Amino acid sequence: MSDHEDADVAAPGGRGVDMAAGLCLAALSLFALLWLIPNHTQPADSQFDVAPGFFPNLAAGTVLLFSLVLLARRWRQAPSGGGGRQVIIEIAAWSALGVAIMLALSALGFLVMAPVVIAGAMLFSGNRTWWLIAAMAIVFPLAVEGAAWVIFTVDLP
Amino acid sequence: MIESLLAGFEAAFTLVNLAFIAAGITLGILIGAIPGLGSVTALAILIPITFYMSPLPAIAFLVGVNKGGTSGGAIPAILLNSPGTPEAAASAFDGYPMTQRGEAKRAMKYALYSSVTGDMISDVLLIILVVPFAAVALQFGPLEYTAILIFAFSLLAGISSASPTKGLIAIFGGVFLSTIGLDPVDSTQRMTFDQVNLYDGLSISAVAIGCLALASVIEQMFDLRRQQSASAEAGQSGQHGPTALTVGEFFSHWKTIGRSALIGSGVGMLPGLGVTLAAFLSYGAAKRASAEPQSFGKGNPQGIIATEAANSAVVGANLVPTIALGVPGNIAAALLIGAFIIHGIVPGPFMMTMHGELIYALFASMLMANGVHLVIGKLGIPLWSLVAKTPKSVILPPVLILCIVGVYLPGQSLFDVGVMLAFAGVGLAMRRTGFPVVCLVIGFLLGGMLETSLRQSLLLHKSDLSALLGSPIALVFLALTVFVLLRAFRRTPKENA
Repeated sequence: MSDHEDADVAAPGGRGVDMAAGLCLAALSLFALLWLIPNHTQPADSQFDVAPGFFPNLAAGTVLLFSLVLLARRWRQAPSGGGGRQVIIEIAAWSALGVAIMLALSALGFLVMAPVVIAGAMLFSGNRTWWLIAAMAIVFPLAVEGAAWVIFTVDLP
Repeated sequence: MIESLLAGFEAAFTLVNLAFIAAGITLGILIGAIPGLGSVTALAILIPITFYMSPLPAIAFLVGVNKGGTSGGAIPAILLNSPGTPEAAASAFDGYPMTQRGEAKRAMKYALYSSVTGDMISDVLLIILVVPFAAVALQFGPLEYTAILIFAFSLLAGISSASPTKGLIAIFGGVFLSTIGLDPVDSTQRMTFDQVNLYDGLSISAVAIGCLALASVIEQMFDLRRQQSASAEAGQSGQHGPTALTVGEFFSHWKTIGRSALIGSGVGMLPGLGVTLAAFLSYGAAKRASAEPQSFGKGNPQGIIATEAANSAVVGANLVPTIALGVPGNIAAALLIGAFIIHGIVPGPFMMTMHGELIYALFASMLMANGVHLVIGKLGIPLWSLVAKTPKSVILPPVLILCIVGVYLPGQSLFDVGVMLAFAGVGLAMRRTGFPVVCLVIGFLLGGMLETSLRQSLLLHKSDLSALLGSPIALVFLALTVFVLLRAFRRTPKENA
C-alpha cells in the first residue's frame, strides 16, 4: 500500500514473478487440500457437526481459486519484468541468517548473538564508523538484557 | 448524567489521579513503541502494579496505559516503516513517506492529534451511549458477525494492494494459518504435528512482528546494501520538510477525523472486532472519500489521521460493551475487566447502578487523560524525531534485536522467535512480489473469529442458507461485500491480477 509496496507490484518481478508465485501458491494449497488437512484433522463427531477440517479446506480452497485467477490473468499479459533472482537471493540469505540467529540464540545465548548480529547488520548496511559499531554492539544488548530483567523480570536466553 | 459526570470530575481531579494517568500514558507510549509490545502487553505487565492501589487511580492508570500503548505503536510505523502492531500498520502507509520527505515531526503531530481527537470523540460516545447500546448489541449474532468479517476482508483486499486478487490470496492465506492448533469447537488437533507449541496456534505477535516489522527492517537493510551511498541515508536524514502543524490545519480535515472516530467507535462497540479492523476500515473509507485517492500511500496526512483517529477511538468505545454487557470488546478490554474484578467491580448491566460514582469518575478520568496524552505526546515528539535524523544503518540493527526480544518476552518461547524469523522471510518475499503483508496478518488475526462465527451460524441454522434472509444486517453487509469487490476489480483492470 505504501509507495514502496505499490512499486513492488510491478517492479521486481512483473509477470514472471507473479506466475511463479501463483504456481507456488496453487501447489501449496493443493498440498494442503490433498494431504495436510485430510491427514492432520479429525472427522466430524456426527453428521450434524461441522468437521474440524471444514474451515481449513475452505481457506486453502479459496487460496487455490485465487492463485489460479492470478495465473490466468498473468498468462494473458505480455511478458514483463525480471528480478525474480534477486528475490530468491534475498530470501535464501535471510533463511540462512535466520537459522544462524536461532542456533546462536539457543546454543550461545542472547549476549553472544545480539552483539554479532548488530555489528554484522551495521556493516552490511554500509556503516563503517568502527567506534559506533563497537559501542552499539556492546552497550545495546547489555541495556536490553538489563531492562528485560528489571522491568519484566525475564531472563533472556 | 451531566450531574453525575460533574461529580465524577470532582472525584477524579486530584493530583494523585493525574500523576497516575500521566505515568500510565508515558509507560504505554514507551512500551507501545517497541515492536511486539503493544497496549495489550503493556496492560498485562502493568496490571499487577495496581493491586495495591485504590480502584479509581488503578483503573485510570490502566486506561492511560491503554491509550498510550495504542498511540505508541504509530512511532516505529511512521519513523521506520516498522509497525510493531498490526493496528499501526496503516499509519506506516503515509507516515513513512512523510518521514522520507523530512516531515517526520509533522507526521507524528498528525498521529498524536488524531489519536487524542479520536479518543475524545469515542469517550464522549461511551458516556452517552453506554446504556442504550446494550439493547442494540444484542441484535448481533454469529450470522451478522460472519457477514461483517467477510465485508471487512473484501474491503481490505480492495484497499491494501493494487491487486485485489493478491490481497484476497494473502487474506485467506492468513485465515488458513489461523486454523493451525486445537479446533475451537471440539479441541481436536489440527495440523499441529503433535508439537505442543502449536496447540495454541501460531503466536499472533510472532506472525505480526515477523511479517510487518522485521520483514520491513530486513528489506530496508537489503536496500541500503544495494544503494550503499550517501544518498541512501539522505532519504531519511537529509531532507528537511515542514514541521509545524497548526490546530486550524489539522481540523481542516474534520470530515476525515469525524468519520474515522465514528468508524473506530462503531467497531469498538461490537465485541471482538478489534482495533486493526477499525484502522483499516477507516483508512479505506478515507481513501474512497478523498478527491485524490492516488495520493494515499504516498504521504497523504489523511491516511495517518484516518488510522490513528480510528484505532484510538476503539479504546474508549471498547468499554461500552464492557460496561453495558460485561463483554470485553477486545483483549485489552478483557484485561481491564480483570482489573475491574480485582478491584471489586463486577462489569455488566448492574455496574452502573452498583458502582455509578466510580464509573463516572472513570469517565472523567478518561476525558482528562486525553489532555494529559496531548501534553506528554507533544513533549515526546522532539525526542522521537531524533530517531528520524539518525542514519538507518544505526537504527535498523537494534530494531532487529528489539523484534526478537519483543516476541520472546511475553511467552519466553524460543519457538515463537523461530516462527517470527520464518515469517520475516515470508513477509520479505511478499513485499518483494507485491503481495500485501497486512492482508496476511489481518486474515490471521480475524480468521479465528470468522471460523467461530461461521461454524456457529452453520450449526444454529443447520447449514440452511435461507437463514440469511432473516437477518437484514447480514444481508446488507453481504451486499456491500459484492459491491466493494466488484468496484475493486473494475477500478484498475490493467493492474488487477
